[in-house]
Amino acid sequence: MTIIVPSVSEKDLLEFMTGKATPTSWVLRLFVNNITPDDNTVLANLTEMTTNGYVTKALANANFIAVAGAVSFPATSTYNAAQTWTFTASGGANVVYGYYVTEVGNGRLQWVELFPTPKTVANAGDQIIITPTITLSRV
Amino acid sequence: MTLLVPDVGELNLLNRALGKVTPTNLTLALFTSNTTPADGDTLSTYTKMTLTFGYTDLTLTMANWTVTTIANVASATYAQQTWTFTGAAGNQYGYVIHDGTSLVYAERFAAGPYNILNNGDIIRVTPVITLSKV
Repeated sequence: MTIIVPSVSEKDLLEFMTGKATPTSWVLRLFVNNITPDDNTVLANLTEMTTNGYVTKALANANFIAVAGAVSFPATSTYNAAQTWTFTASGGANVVYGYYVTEVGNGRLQWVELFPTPKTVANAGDQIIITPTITLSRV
Repeated sequence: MTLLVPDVGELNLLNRALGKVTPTNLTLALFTSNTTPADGDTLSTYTKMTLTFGYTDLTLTMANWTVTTIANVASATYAQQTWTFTGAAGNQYGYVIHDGTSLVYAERFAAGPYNILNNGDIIRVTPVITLSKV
């Protein structure tokens, strides 16, 4: 599925857009509970992965690269490098359902995406690779 | 009509949202060209009102935006802004909001243009931006 920016996160992003608040930096995380994110999803609804050598990924503001689309197409901001988790076997087999991004300053969920199919992590060397991308377009 | 965020505005807002750039105050200005906002617009697409008849561009101070979420739609609202003219400034077709020399969004007055003829004529704009998923 595409990313969901929950309502509380839309408010945060509008504050960042208008300069009412300034984002500090971002953290990319994986979640392991079987949830379908929607407008009302908050951080507490997501269970972060803790096994298989998992660690969070810091995303620096400066590393997002935004490009304008062609006329009438959305602007897209993409992180400048794919983010790769290489797992261990510690903790056995675990299912990862998707990823989410939090903002360091306010600590809140900013956006979340469910993988089209869940990924099972079981063996040393298993990988999940994500390139964070967000688009903005008028309706 | 509703406001239009052109391609350059989307880029600007994405960079602000992600902290790629340090935000600064936005500027609110009237335009006098008979322009219908479109995706490919830039600030130079519009003829801004000249600094005559008591008109000035207005600064929208970052801290003064009020952002709320109602029924899952987030909106940023700024206090109503008023221009009081001192003479015949002519037709005002709409307003633009820009960040330095970069256009962020534009809106053509739905019932415009408003022809400013007299000392004391007023135009009021309340800037509002909403953000919602499609």
